[in-house]
Amino acid sequence: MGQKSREDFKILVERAQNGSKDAFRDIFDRLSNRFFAYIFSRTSNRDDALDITQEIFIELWNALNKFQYRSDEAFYGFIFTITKRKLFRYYKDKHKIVSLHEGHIRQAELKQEDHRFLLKQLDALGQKYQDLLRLRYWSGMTFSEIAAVLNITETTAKVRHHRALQKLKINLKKENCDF
Amino acid sequence: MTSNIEKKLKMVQPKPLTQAEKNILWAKIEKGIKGDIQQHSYFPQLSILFGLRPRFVFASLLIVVLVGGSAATIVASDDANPGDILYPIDIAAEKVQLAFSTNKRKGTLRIQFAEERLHEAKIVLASAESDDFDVSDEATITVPAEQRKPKKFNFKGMKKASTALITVLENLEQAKNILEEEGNMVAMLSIDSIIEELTELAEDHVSDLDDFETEIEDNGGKKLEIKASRNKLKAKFKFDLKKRNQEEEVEEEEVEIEIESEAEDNNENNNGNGNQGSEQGQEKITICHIPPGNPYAAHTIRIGKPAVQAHLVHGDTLGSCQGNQEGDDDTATSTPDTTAPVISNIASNVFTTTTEINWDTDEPSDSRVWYSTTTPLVILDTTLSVISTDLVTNHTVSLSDLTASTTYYFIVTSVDAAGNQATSTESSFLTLTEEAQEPEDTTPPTLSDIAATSTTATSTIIFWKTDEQATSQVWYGSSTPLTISTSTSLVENSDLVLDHSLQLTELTASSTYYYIVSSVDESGNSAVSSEFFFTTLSE
Repeated sequence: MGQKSREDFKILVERAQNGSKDAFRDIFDRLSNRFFAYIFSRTSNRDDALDITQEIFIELWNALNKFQYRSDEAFYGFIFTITKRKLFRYYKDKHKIVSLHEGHIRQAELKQEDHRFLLKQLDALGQKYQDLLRLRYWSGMTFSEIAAVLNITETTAKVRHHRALQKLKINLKKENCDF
Repeated sequence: MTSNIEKKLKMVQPKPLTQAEKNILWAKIEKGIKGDIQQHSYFPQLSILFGLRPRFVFASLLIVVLVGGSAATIVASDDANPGDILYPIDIAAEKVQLAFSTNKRKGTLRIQFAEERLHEAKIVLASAESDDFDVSDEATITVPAEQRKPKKFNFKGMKKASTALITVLENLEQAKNILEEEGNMVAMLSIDSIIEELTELAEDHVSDLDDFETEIEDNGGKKLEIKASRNKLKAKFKFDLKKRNQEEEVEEEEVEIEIESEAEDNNENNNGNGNQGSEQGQEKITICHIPPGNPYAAHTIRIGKPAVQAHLVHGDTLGSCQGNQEGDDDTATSTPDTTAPVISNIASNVFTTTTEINWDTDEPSDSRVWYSTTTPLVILDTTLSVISTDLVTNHTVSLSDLTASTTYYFIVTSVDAAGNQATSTESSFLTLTEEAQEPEDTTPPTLSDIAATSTTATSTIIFWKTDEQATSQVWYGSSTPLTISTSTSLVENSDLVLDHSLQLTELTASSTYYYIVSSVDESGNSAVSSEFFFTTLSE
């Protein structure tokens, strides 16, 4: 997560709303990966994830005028609403069930088996817990951002995060895994 | 230290977007939004009103016009200026007029339209001076009295004017090309002179933009936009430096030498005082000097008041050139900044392994937080710190990889552009324990406004509201009282919402159905309504 000040982003959004493609490009550069990480985890296919990401930003451009800037987090929430809609349609069309993600390890430090195993356990958590952990560790969001994105309070986000980690640890222990 | 599992979770994340993937993605996105950019600024409200893409709104309005729908629309739009929502209708109406007139008449028509465009441009420029807008948007320009009286501009108006000038120019150039193709040289020359007049307006406007830029409150974005507008105008209009050069070359050289030696004289006079620039003697004015025929060598100089006129005549602009050019007079600032920023409102947002430190400064400066688990905190080379080099007045710095349940001591510093540093006193925060407080939500949602609507012979939509985010369930059946069991018809949606609507389908016509709604909040508290009913219509 960048250390850019809040003012910066607000200006970008406003400029994009006034039609500045450059400002929109900037927004895309900053946010695309954070949302892509989440989307990729919800589709099992990198190409599909790329397509969905593309559609989201196009729709975001068209919907910019409907958005009134209140905070960075609210903006992420806005994008997330579009994301959920796109994913919902994707599932309807594809009837895809999220499964293991093979061969896209970010860092090879973790052993292949451990990696696959952890992901499997992550997938076995409920949707709510999965989402929260993914947004936190893969999209690098703060709790206040997660709160805005999921439309819950910040405290609920922290609590849910805590519970998700606990559940994950318990499941891993059950399988005798040393995490 | 982040726990093991948190680290490992981070490690298994999917491969992020590569730069190549980003570029391809952006290219596709750009293609997807390309068609909308032009209309974007004209149709923001209209497209929302119609819920359609801008292009369709335009087309449908045009069709209405052609079918003789509303003469009123055209009359109304005739008052539209470039940049107004109705302006494209104006253009469209003109095209229609042209299409239906004879070739002979077309030339005259085009000239007439061109003149109207010019007139409209003048109106837009004039309204850039109005004070309809936010006071914070305005900037009073106090320019040496010889040149002009003080003007008041506003940001939105200036932007609108810049866009309008370019739009009109494009329009005129297009008309000129068409006339040339048609072989109507006389008309083409008329358009040419109208373009000339527009160019003069544009030059004045660019000069105004320069002044406006130096005077407006800097929040980064506005200055950038004005610079962008100015560059665009300069590119589009190709201000006629070349033409003037040929006529006035010699004259200018003489004037230049005169001015530069004058500046030198003044510098020599002041050298003895050790003062940079010249606060004493003549009042110096900063201008951007554009060497005739060589705009790329433009640089900032400071000259005596009497010489300003001559410089402006040959195309120089008031205020410094953008960016740093070679030969720039870098001593253009009048008084050096020796005041450090003032830090206030230090606050921390504490979590278990991360913390956000916020504070304000009274002038733009960078952000740095030094932290440690020992007190008193002495800043050494080995002290941990997080820094952000952006110059801002609202600061936010995130500290991560902290240990839970630990007291950290910290100091914030901010350095302004001139290098003056402010340092706060020591503060501290205590990170949260791993066991987060559990707030118990034991309150079920409150259901309200329950109703069956849009009832047809075979379907209906059940609406209701809850006072907190909750899921939606509707049980229904043909007998009363409705008892809920596993065999009862159920429609549900697990999205957490405040406004609920579920559709019941495949119902029998002319029948009464009884239903119960229910909602469950995130914490699992549920609310169940009493029984309601609706009757389907007859076939």
